[in-house]
This record gives sequence, C-alpha cells and structure tokens, in this order.
Amino acid sequence: MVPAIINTILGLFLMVAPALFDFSKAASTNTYIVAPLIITFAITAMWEANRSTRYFNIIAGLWLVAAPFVLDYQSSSEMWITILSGAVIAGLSLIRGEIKGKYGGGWRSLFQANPPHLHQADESR
Amino acid sequence: MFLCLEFQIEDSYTFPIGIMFTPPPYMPTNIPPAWDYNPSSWSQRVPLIVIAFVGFLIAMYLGLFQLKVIPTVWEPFFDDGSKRVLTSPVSEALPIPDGVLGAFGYVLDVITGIIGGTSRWRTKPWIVILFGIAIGPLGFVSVMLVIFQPVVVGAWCTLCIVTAVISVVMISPAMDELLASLQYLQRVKKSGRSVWDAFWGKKELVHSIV
Repeated sequence: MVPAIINTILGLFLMVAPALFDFSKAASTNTYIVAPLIITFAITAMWEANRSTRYFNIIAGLWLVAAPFVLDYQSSSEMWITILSGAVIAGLSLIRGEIKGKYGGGWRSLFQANPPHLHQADESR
Repeated sequence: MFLCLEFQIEDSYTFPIGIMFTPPPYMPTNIPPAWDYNPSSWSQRVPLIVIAFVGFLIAMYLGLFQLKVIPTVWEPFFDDGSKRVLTSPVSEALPIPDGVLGAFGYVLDVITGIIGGTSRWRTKPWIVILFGIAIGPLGFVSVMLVIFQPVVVGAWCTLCIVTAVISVVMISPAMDELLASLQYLQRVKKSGRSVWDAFWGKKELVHSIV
C-alpha cells in the first residue's frame, strides 16, 4: 500500500516535471507516455487483490533508468530526474507488502491445477 | 434495525422468509470460497455506482460541449487547453465525440453495477464479466486519452484528467468481483459441467456448484 502510494506521487511528479524543468522534446514525450501508465498501475496495486500490477512498474521504472541513454536526453536535470525517479519506482515496486485477505488464491489461482478456492469448496461440500 | 438485519443476511445466506440462520456447510453462501468478504455485496458496489455516475455527469458535460450544445467549457488551469483537447482530431476521430462515448461507458458501468443481487458473482457471471470489461479496458482507454493530450494535441484538459482519475480508481475495486466470478467458472469447468450454462447463470448449476 505505502510503496504504491509513493509511486503514485512520483508518477504525478513526473507528469509536471517536463514543464517545471524544461525537458527536451524526446524527454517530455517519453515522460508523458510512461508517467500516466505508472500512476495507473500504482493505483491499482494499492488494493491487495491486484497487488501484482506492481510488476508493470518494475519494468516501467527500469525503462526510465535506461531511457536517457536510449533516447539521448540533453540536459543533466532531465537525465537525473528520470533516472532517479525510475530507480525509486522500480525499487518500491519490488515490495509486495502485507496481504491480509485471501481472495480465493488471487489471480494466479486461475492458472493453478488445485487452487485454494477449489480446495475450500471441496472441503465445505 | 431493519438495515442491520439485512446486512447480516447479505453476508450469510438469503432465506426466502428472511429468517437469519447459519447455513449448513453444503449450502452456498454469498462469500466465495477462500474469500473473507463478498465482492458482490452492496457495500462493495454502491461506491462504484456513485463514482461512475459522477464520471457520467462530467463526460456528458464535455460531450455536450463537443456537440456544440454548450458554447464554452470550464477550464481552471490551462487557458484554452480543454477547448483544444476536446476539438482535437483525436477527440473527433470517431463519428461520435469521445466525451459522449465516455458518458456511454459510465452509463454501462452504472447499469452493470446495479443489475443482480448480492450473489451475482455466482448467479450472473455474464453481468459481472460485462461490468469488468466496462471498467477495466475502458478505464485503460481513458488513460490513453490522457497520454494523447500532451503528446498529440499539446494541451491539457482538466475535466478530462478528472474523468481519467475516476476511471482508474474504479478498476481495482471492480476487478475483485470479476476474479470471484472467474474462479467460480473455473470450479464449474473442473467439475466437468457446462461453463456456458454457468456463464448465463442456469438455475440447476447455481445450486449445485459452490
């Protein structure tokens, strides 16, 4: 929950960063594409049942670390803002956090041979 | 008193006469197996219906501006940003303006949120899945539209962003009910019965599968 909230705030920061720090065209475009996706997946990951959407933000964060080199960012401010936020977002997305609810075994149960919800249903029969 | 009684029944078992009783173990309850709560309960669904209705009002307002029914559009931060976004080629790419389409999306959210009782994850999987499609993928479309604002149009639209936030916040609270329905269909499949019949909530199945 807390990592997802911090990532949402970092995503919002990235949304305003191009205007605040005068990003170049390539840096702005990349940020404006990736930041809304990071915010979306961070918000969905706030709920325990969908905590797995954090995996997307590991990839998105790593992309932000690589992007300044791939897209040839110009100024050092746009470069470091992107790399540092990306690293923090990826790092925080690694944290699973406490999951109190059971949710029948969660989304992965749909791909299991003997998922927890089936087990419980058989037991109560 | 009345509300309290209803609430108790909701999460155990609805008995025709309305008497509270502990269900025998073989009887299906409204809480899905291996869950802690019922994702189809009204306390889970009503907030979503209310938020979707607010989304509908905002999207309809933007749509009416796009249809030129309303001459101006409210924009507190970005000067003529809303106007530029709402009259952009992206917004008008389809025969119907995207604001009006968004309003239809929220209407679908509200309708599919209301239909069905508190056991609908089991009795009406089709409506829960339709609800999930209306909220999940359509929520993602509104995020794509937020990306288009600076990247394609080069302007921001405050109320469009508000509707996108509404759509995104609705995704997770709606997806849990979809998960319960999909798990139910998974149990039907493993029992060797018709998933198609279960999808449409055929009576005999509803009472034989937990």
